[in-house]
Amino acid sequence: MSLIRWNPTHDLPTFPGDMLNMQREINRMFDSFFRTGRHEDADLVASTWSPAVDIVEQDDDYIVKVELPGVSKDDVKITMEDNVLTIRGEKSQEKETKKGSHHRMERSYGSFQRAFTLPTTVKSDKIEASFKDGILNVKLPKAEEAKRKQIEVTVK
Amino acid sequence: MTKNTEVRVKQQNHSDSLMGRTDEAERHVIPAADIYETSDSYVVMLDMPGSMKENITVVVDRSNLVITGKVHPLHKEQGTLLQNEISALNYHRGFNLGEGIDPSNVDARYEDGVLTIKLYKKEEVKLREIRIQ
Repeated sequence: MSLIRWNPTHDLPTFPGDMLNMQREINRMFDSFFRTGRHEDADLVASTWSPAVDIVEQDDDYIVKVELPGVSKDDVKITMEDNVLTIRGEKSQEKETKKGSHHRMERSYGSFQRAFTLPTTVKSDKIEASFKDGILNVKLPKAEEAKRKQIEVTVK
Repeated sequence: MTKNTEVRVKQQNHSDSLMGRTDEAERHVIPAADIYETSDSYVVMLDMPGSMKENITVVVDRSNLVITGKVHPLHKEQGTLLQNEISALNYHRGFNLGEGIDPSNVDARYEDGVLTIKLYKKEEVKLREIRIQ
């Protein structure tokens, strides 16, 4: 299974699926549709950007790396819900730059959001994240049942 | 705790040409830059995530500003790359400097993946308020 960008319509349960789950999905869809907040549907808002992401799968965990230069760790929010990892936040313009007159502006500002459906379940309480040199590093340990196991079958 | 983020800036004589570089053809990323002007300086900010302060060079001569940054290996882990958007190439970018910049008065610091270079203006071009007598 490959990783795809999270799209609420892709995640709809198939009938006869879990009705409670379906209701939650529908609520979420309506929620994001009617909400005016910038974060809830980043794709629809013009002043958003998508940071570059690398994902590595190891035997015991997933490592997600996000390029976020100039973003402070307090401005990043990482959430995990139903196997969907969401990294969102906001990059604000440095205070001192507002004083001067601009000759060139190529760097991205504003809110950003990336979301991924992970192929297997992870231990959501054991997720660790660190920030170094503008790169966010998120480590998601796989749940025991999702770890790759080698089983030897004896042929009789 | 104070983080040491100062990047060494090299001043280069005009005779020491930048044209002779052989690694110019190497594949690299041109980092996105913001440039703004204040009353006493020009400030260049470049997004260079994944570099290390020690591997960034800022070279200034009378007419050029050249920035290079080596990125450290991104993936030390052994595993399958499921998604790969980060280029992991080194950074390289040059700017022509106009008149009025003092090449001996340049500061650079690297913090949170952003390189900030402050090029001070020559004394004679600085914006000065003139007192009315």
